[in-house]
Amino acid sequence: MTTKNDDNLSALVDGELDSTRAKHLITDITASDELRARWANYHVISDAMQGNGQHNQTIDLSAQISAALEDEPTVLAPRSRTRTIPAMFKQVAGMAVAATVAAAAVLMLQPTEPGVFNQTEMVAGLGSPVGQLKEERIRVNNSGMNWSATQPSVASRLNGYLVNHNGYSTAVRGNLPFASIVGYDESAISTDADDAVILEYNPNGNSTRR
Amino acid sequence: MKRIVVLALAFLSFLPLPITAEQITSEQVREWLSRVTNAGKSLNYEGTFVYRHGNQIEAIKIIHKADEQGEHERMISLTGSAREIIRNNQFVTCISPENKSVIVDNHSPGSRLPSISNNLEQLDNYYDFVFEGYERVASREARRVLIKPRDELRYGYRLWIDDAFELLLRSELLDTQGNAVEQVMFTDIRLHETLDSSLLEPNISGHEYTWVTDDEHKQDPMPLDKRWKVANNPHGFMLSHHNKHKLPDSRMPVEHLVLTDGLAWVSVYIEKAAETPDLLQGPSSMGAVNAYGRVMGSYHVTAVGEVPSETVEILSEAVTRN
Repeated sequence: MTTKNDDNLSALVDGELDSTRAKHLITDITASDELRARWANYHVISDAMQGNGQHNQTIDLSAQISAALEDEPTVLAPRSRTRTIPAMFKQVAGMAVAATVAAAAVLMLQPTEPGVFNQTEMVAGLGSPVGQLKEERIRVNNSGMNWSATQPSVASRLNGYLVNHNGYSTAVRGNLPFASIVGYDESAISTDADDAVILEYNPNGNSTRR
Repeated sequence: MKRIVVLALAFLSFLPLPITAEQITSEQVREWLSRVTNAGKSLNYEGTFVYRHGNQIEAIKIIHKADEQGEHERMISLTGSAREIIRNNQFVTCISPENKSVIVDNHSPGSRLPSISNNLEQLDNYYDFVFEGYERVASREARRVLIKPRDELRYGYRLWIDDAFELLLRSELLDTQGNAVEQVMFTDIRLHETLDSSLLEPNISGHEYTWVTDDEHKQDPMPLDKRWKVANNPHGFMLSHHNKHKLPDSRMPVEHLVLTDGLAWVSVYIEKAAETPDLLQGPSSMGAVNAYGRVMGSYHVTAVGEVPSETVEILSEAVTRN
């Protein structure tokens, strides 16, 4: 086991690993018994450090047993070692497997949008029931103001005029000529795709015409 | 008794007189106004303002930088959808996270406004300018000014001008009854010697966004139909610009006349009536904005602006084609 893997595990537990690396690590954890065990240990350590005492006993116990086993007469040791220590780990690792499966389930429940892999949710998912994760927020549909006594098509036309007009009527709003656009109804600034020119995004903030 | 009064009067006359509202002349107030536009363009500041129109209220963060390259500005809507507007001089980018679109509009320099100072003399015919006193806005000292229309064809304004930097800190658009129908007010503002350019970068990565532009100003200027006129400057509204646009949702270019009395702005849009069925007939309003549409031969004329409904009707009627 490399230090890098340890660092990554630690970062994953703390929810600080970037999404791509987190994905890889989760795959590795699922495949490797050793990683699963370490993963479980990290959770135990993390909980202990955050003052969540539930696992402290587990740590002490495994440490004590390990110490006891070291002290056992050599005759019994090889056999005991191969059975007892993995058995202890198995319990913890079993929980880890369950957690990993839960995580995998969570990952599958998330809509597979590239680049929107949400690590925070995923890491939280390892310790909590899957059902709590899928949260859909109800958004208030704020339709904004609208034109009096007009059909939607006429209102849309008037909005088009108004946005254009607002570029001119700036004298008293002074420095805030576009404030009204920030405030307006979406339909006022949506552009008909037929006439629109699609621009290619350039991270420098400039854009070029396609 | 008489002597006491005389003494008191003599004593009072030595006290320094506080500057009263009456001592500030209409000319001085108009001078402040001409400097307000300039201050808004030339200073570095960041702050938050609230914008109320009709029964809606929004909070918007603004970052404004002025340097050798000109003006750079970023506005972020803090309420509702996290819309952003980024402006580099005349180049305006609207980012809408809700429909994942970026709209780019290149306002040609010609379409930017002349500052109100150009029209100050003329303004005197239609508005009174009154300094009402000092008031605090965004925890800064401000001069409160009332611009009162002399007739019922335009709205009034109440403005709060930063006493030190002459930035506009608050403004109210007042209807003919004097009620505020639209308000903009800074809740906090910080002025800076310099501002880091990184503050003006958009939050989005842009990869999932569709970038669109209405392309209005990139095409060659379309020939104007100079036969369209507004006769005899009705009630002081003079022709300020004549443009031709291809608006986002229209197939045909729209003839655009911009009229102003120096403070109030009205746009008159003229289209071929047959090509667009969805045109306004008669009056409509949205908050403080009024519109009036009518058919004129084979054309359709719509006047839109933040003026009373009577005014858009008069101005739409004043349009002629020789």
